[in-house]
Parts: sequence; structure tokens; C-alpha cells
Amino acid sequence: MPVLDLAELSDLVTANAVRMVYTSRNGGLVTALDDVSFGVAEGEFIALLGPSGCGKTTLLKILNGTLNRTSGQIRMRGQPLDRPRPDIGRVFQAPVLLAWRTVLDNILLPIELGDGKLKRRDYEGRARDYLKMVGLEGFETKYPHELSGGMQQRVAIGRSLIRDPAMLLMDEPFGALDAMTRDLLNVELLRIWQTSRKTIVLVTHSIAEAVFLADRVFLMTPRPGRLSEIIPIDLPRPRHLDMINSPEFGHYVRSIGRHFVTPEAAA
Amino acid sequence: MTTHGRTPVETVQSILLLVGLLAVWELTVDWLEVSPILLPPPSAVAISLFNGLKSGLLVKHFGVTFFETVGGFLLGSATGLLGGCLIAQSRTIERLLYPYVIAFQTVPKVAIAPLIVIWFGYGLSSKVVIAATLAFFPVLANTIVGLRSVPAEQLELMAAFMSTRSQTLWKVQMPQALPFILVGLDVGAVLAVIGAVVGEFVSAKEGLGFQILQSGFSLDTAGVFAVLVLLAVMGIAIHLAMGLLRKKVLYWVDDVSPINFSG
Repeated sequence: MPVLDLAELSDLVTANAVRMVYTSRNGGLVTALDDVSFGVAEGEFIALLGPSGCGKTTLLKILNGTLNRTSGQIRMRGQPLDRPRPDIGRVFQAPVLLAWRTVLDNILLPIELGDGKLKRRDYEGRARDYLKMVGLEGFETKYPHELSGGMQQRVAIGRSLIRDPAMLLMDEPFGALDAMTRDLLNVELLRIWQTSRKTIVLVTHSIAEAVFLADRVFLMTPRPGRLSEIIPIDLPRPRHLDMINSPEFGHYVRSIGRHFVTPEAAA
Repeated sequence: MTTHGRTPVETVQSILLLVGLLAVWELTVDWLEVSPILLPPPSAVAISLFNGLKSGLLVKHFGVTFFETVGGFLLGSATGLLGGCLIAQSRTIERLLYPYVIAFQTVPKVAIAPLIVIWFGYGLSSKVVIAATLAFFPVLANTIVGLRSVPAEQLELMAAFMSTRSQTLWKVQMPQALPFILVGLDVGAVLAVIGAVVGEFVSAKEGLGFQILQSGFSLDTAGVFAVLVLLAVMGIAIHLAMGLLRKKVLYWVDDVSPINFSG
């Protein structure tokens, strides 16, 4: 697979001087995000990396249109992005499946929402194909509590893909899983990304995960949340788990790690 | 009453305990020669119950009270459910209405029962209304708490996938609130029995409450106990019916144990 020349691709999403200020409980102002600007190319895999409280999740919600920024512009395909759109999928840290719905009904939930113009039967085949792809064939009529954590998160990813979105927003999707399941799902996610060519913005606080998955790593620093550096990862694709032991991989992990040891230097 | 997870041995033990208590009661009353006006033996209660059922008198009164209870329960819980949905929709409505709801709840319904009889007449409708006022509040309060119990993440999920307000209400809030609402219904159903009987105490020409007063006036204590047995049967039947409803409705909940309450 050739390395993408990012400059030649038109950006799917552009953010310009995005700022987010909260009023805290005691009435003070908290700057969650300050002067965040970036572009995300069509089909690109971005990892938002930073310590807790650096505004990663806030930025993801703003990109989703479920949270309104205080100032600055965000555009997706040229249109201002300030409310949820059907061509954005979202995956949370917890699966957030609805306990009273079967696996199939959970995946098809987004089809029933919004203006109601989508027909369920047009998407059932896609849902079943997805379940087959992630090894959950035969689980269609099971309820979430009958599934393991990893299976539940696979269902949640299926739900985020069902409307065939242009962009997937993922908030530490595998953070709650054990290390082995996590590696497995990361590889699976790369496979999905490789075949569907969706743009993915993934929040993580694992440096290794960010380096393993992303085309570019957006480093964020806290108080106030800023985008301190953008690091392109020039590791070949498709990526395999054994690449984690390569010297190049180690080099990226170490150089990114240095930013977090001395946060003053990074800011 | 069967409880979730009870073994057959425990059920037999429960029944043996009841039989033992009745035997002790029977023998003690007989031995100490207690006046049947003060405390009739269980055998006298059984005979009174049997005769009342055979003559059809108690059956008729049971039917009247049961009708009032069910009618009041349906009216009260429907109002509570609707009111709960309305109040849970916005904090403004809640701030506007809820103080009055609480004020209404703190007034003892027994105290306003004579008023309701004046307004709604001496027939069935006043008892239905009294039963409804008692069943209303637990359903209302549990509906509000249930609808508010939706985790923030589920609301964010619905927002992210462009859910409308009514889609969020029906697809997430309602199912999430159901376990709470069912607890409210269970409590409300038992309170409705109390409401119907209280209404009959105030003024009635029929019903189990009326029959208790009649038996009491004529010092037929065994007759009072016979009616109490019927009221217990009604309460247990309603509670069991709610348990079945709960199992049916909450199909996704693993452990559907019945709610224990005193009342």
C-alpha cells in the first residue's frame, strides 16, 4: 500500500482556532480547549493522544456536533459542523448497548433514529454481514448481557458503521478491555478501516496504541487543552502486531513519550 | 406466596409454620376460654368464611371491593404515569408542579375521603377515586425517578445518532424507567386496596369494608376475621399478578425477583 500524500487529499474536516470554555460548579471559567486547529484528510486515521483531562473527549464531542464550542470554526465537507450528522459514527469507551434490544436490534438502532427515512430491511443484510465479519454470526438474537465485553464492543462498532458514515469517532473504545482482547480488536479495527477506507478519529491515552493505529498522532496537553504537536507515523501498512517490536516503532513510542515526561516543555 | 429462589422444602416449612400457629391459636383460645367476641378460634373464622362464601354474601362484597380497587388502581396509575412523563420532560415543569404534588401527597387521604364521598356520591365512583388518589403517587414518583435514571452516556449515544426527543423517550427512557415504574405499580396496587376499604368505611352500602363495619357492629368478630382473610387473599393475588407482569415486561433483566415491601 503506497504511503498517502496528505497534501494532495482534500480535507474532510477542518478545525480552526476551536475554543471551549465551561462554567464550573463554583461559577469559575474552565478552558477545556484553546486554539485547536487541524485538518483531517479523507480516509485518514488520526489518534488523539494525551493524559486525562486534556480535552480529548471534549474535542471528540465537538467533532460529533453533540457539544457546542465556545468559539472557532469546524467544517466537514465544507459545511459548518455544529450538530450531529448522519455521516458520522461514534463509539464510546463502554459499549452503551441497550439491554432490552437484541444484538441485531442494537446494531440497527441508528437506522430507526432521526427523520425515519431509512428502512430497516435495507440495512439488515449489512448488519448480518458485519456480524459475520467479526465472528458474531449466530448472535443476532442474543441480548447484550449474554456477550463478553469484547463482543459487546464489536456490536457497538457495528452500530457505528451501520449508516456507512464517512467518519468514525472513537473514544478509547478498547480501554475497558483486557490487553489481549484489546490487541485483537485493534487489529480488527485496522482491517475494517483498510477495507472501508473510513476516516477515523480515535481518542487514546496509550502511546503504543496511537503509534500502532494512526497515520498521524495529535498530541494534546492539558490546562488548557491544546494541540501541542502533530506527529506523522510513517510505518508501513498493513500493520501487524509483531511490528510493535521493530526499532522504528520503539523510536516513535520513545519520542512521543518524552513529551509527557516534561509537559512544560511540550506546552 | 412463592418467592423467587425458594426451595420446595422452604415452602413446606412456611406452610407448616402457618398450620402450627393456627393450632396454637385454636388450642389457646379453647384452653383459656377466651370470649369469641374478643378473639374467635380459627375454626370459627373458617366456618364464618365458608358460610359467607356459600351464601354468596362475601362473594358479592369481594367483587365490589375488587372492582373499586382495580378501577382506582387503573385510574391512579394511568394519571401517575402521564404526570410522571410530563414532569420528567423539563425541570421547569417539575419546579412548577412538584411542590403541589408533594403538598397533595402529605395530606392524609383518609382525611379527605369524606370530602370525596360528598363530591362523588355514595356509590362505587367515590371509592374508585379514593383508591386512585392513593395509587397515584408511588407511580408518579417512580416514573419520574425512572425516566431520570437514564445514564448520561445513553443520552449522548442517542444525541450522536440524531435521535428526536420522542425517539429518546420511547426507545431509551421508557425501557430504562420500566423497572422503577413496575415497583411504583406494585406499591400503588396494594395502596388501592387500602383506598377502596377506607372509602367503604366512610360511607357505603356494599363492599368488604362495609362488611367489616357490619360484622363489628353486631360483635361478629369471626365475621370480621373472615373479611380480613379475603382482603389478604386480594392483596396477595394483586401482588402475584404484578410479579407476573414484571417477569413478562422485564424480559431482558436476568434476575426478576419480586419486590418486598411492607404495607
